[in-house]
Amino acid sequence: MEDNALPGEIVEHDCGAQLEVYNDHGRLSLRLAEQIGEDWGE
Amino acid sequence: MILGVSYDLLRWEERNLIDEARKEGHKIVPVFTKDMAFVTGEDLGLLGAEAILQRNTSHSRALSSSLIFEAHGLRVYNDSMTLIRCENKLHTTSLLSKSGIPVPKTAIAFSREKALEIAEKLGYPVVIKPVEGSWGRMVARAQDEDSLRSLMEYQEFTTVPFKTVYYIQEFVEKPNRDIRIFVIGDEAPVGIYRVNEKSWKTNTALGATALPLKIDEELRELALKVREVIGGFFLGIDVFEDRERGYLVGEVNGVPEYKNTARVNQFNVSGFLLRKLGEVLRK
Repeated sequence: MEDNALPGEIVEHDCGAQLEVYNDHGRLSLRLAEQIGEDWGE
Repeated sequence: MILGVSYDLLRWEERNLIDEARKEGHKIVPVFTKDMAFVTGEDLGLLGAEAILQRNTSHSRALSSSLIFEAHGLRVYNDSMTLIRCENKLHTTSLLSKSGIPVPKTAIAFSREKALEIAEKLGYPVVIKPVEGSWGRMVARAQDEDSLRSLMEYQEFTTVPFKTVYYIQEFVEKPNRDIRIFVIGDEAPVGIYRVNEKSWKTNTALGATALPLKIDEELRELALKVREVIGGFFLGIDVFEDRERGYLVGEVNGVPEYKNTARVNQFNVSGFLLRKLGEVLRK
């Protein structure tokens, strides 16, 4: 993770998985990114 | 100013907004919607934000969080009513048409039979679109009654909202491009042509190429008139160029993406947006 990472940022793991930065009880952590949702868009 | 940026995915736009705001000396409160919870009687914890820029990718998160912020007395750009007017295509089209803004000939029907009858009058091919949707998803061209019947049936078996409401539009014979023009505050400063040589769909999300737009006075006036009808502060307006009728407004986007617009025009959309927002907040 970059030093200036923010929650919601997408990070690509070496294995190809897309991970999302999130706030885990005050600490930035990574979890699997959400798939594109049906209601996503502009 | 102290500005909250509400988002659920940190795309280029949100990162650029946050970076530009900090560069200009504004205090930014990033509000990652998925980390947020609204609990009655508790403070939202927005650290003194004077206003919120709404940047959620999910329409349901955008609308719901805007409603919560507004209930807490915060000004939200775009506000919930604007998001509703933009997200629901039948609402957008009805409002624009009623206000005399040129739109493609569109019919909304509530049964397959009526939809088929109206499509016949519009003349094939017609385009069927989900009432709510983005990035060109499930937008399809029906060449004849048989295809339209199948497309309506497909729509009914999806999970999209309003699946038994049929939004049918004439197929506009446009060049291989459409226009995306941005309204920011009371100006329409920038836009792009979205060119697709391979498909009639010109969404950049579907591979269309962005080119700088030359904004003429007619287009600028049209964009500002759309804003008068739809409301809002930051809009991405999609416009078709019909050979005979001229400009026709296709859709209005309430949380527009602008990475390609900024890139091809070398125009600082985030900076312009923040300046115009600052003007409004100072009033």
